[in-house]
Amino acid sequence: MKWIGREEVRSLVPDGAWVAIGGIGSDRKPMGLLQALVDAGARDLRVVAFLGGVDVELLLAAGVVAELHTAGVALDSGLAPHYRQARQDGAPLVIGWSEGALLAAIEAGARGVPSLPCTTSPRSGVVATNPHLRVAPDPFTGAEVTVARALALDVALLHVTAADPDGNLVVDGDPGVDGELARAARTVVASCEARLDQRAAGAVISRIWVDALVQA
Amino acid sequence: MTDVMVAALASFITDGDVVGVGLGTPLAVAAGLLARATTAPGAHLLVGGAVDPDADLATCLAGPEALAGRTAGYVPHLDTMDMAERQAMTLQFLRPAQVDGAGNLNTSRVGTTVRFPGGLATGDVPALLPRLVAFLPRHEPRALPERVAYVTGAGGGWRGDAHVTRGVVAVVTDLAVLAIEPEGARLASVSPGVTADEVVARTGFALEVPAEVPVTPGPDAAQRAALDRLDPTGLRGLAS
Repeated sequence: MKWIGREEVRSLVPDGAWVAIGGIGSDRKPMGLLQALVDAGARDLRVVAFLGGVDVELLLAAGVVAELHTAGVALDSGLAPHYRQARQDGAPLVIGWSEGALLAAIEAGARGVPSLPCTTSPRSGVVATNPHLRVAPDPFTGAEVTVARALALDVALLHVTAADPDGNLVVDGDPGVDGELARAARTVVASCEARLDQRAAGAVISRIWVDALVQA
Repeated sequence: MTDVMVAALASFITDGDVVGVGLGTPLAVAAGLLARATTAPGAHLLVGGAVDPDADLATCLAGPEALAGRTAGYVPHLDTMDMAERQAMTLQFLRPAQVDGAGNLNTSRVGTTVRFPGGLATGDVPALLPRLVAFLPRHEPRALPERVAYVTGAGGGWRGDAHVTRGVVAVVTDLAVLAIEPEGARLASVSPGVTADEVVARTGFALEVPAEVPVTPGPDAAQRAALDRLDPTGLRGLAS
């Protein structure tokens, strides 16, 4: 775990990498990290945004996305125009998920299992249109369940309230799926609004998962 | 018709319900606040992640920070998903792009030309929550087709042999309240000044029309007073 400058973020995100973005909607999105990637010429990213907003719009507008996986993208003002255009054009590729299914795929990656079942209805169109989802009989009960294939995340980009001296991350408010992303991704980069002088008490994302910190 | 819709949505909430309302849906939030203030004070309301906010509509719509110190706490987003899976949430209001007579929901897309935010939790909740009530600010055929263009959420379901979840049980629009039942869709009531024929003409799926169709009651005097208090500037009417 080390503190790095914004210009070093690019070196941690290879072209074509699976990049998961933390935060929810317009809340705690790592815009500085994303801008750093765009400025440094990142390309062909496979982006996972659980619930996206301006983060997805930024990356789509910059043309750095090869593939987008999300349970939904919207701006506070309504529809997200670049996201809408991408889905209408069919490019870049947008794969739609439900929240439950995407969470299962992230969690499967975190736990090192090839897939995990979820409670997403097998009859949802999301299942039919997503190659990472299949309907299969549960091995014990035979009931048809939706199963999500593990996502192998290369990088998680998070934006958090603070980091303590040991590199533990403090998140004020709704943590979204940031904790899950931190456990799932091979490399975790977090931009932090503050550096604490003292060890953080209470719930944190452990330094065990954190690779690089950037002062926001 | 806004207040008729708000009162109609509120009428689905009873004491003991745990109701999920979204953040960006003023009509739904208003209905939840109205129910807790009048007919269902024992119901629990989740406005986004805020539990039982003690605030007016404008403050609720301003987001979680605005409610600091005025809620019974916050439930993180992932926990609301767990609540849905364990039926700890009993009712949710949803505003889809489309809903059909079988209770299928579309929050995703229509053909190749129009796109909506995406799956969200719509693919998950209909088979999980005991009841969903869909609402549409404008009752028009393209929002109420015979069959939704894309099934984001499929109505009803069961897990093991433990329980049956109903999925979408009703659709509240500016013109009517439609009941979605296993046998099909039924016209439960019409808004004041609206005829059953008008509703049938503007609905793409078959509707059973009873001989006597009640009029959806608007808010009573106590509810009108509560709405004036909770939303003096009429934000509830700003639903898209």
